[in-house]
Amino acid sequence: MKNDNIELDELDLLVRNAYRNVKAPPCPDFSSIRDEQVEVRKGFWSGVLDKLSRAKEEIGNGIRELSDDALDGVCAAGEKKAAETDHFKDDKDLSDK
Amino acid sequence: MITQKEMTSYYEDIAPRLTSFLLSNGCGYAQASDIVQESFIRLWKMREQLTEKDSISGLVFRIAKNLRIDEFRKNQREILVDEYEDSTVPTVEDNHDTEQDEKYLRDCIEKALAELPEELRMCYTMFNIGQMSIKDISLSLNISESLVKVRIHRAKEKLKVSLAYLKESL
Repeated sequence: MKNDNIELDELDLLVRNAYRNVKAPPCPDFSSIRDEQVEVRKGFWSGVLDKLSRAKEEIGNGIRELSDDALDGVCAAGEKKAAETDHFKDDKDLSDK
Repeated sequence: MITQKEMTSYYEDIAPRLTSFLLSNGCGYAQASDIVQESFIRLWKMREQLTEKDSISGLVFRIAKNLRIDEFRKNQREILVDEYEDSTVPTVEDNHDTEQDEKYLRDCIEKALAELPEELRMCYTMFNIGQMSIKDISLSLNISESLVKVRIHRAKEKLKVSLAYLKESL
């Protein structure tokens, strides 16, 4: 008998025969083995998505606050301008007189 | 990627040879069984990284070899040849059946293998008991194929001398 160009002699066959009836342990149930890599990957992506949604929420809140402030500013400016215009109007009326 | 069915088929083919290889390298059956199962579990977990070029047999033997080394380091239970107790030296018994014959043979062989230098024993047991190809052994041990052949040849020469008495008793 040959194996990889090495002649298997009497000794090799004797050694091989001594182990021919060795039984392997039962096969593990591969379906029940937790796939750590997939879980790590899932964990990573869910972490990224969480951060993204949190960031989106924060940005949304920020924009809302900004626009509220801006509107306040516009309103305040509008009121001030109206008051100034009235004042000038009064001055003009007086000078006309 | 390897499916569960394919992995089970690899297990059925390789696991008996791997168990025998571990037994011939000084492991007890319980320890060998743990290492065999753990090796396949690790292989299963890394299945996505495997390519068609990878030799499953070579990989699983390499994982098992490393696990065995880790176990020995952890437990420091390696039996040195000089520490063999008289009770562990195999003896010839009358009226033994086939199972006992095989046990006796294995005891004789394991004692002879234990006397070999580690590098010769590893190559010989991978080749003859693990039935791995020369190429897989060379990849697994990170040595050239010609060196694998030389080591197998040297191991055989030594085993022929140390097991010569078996020829007479059998």
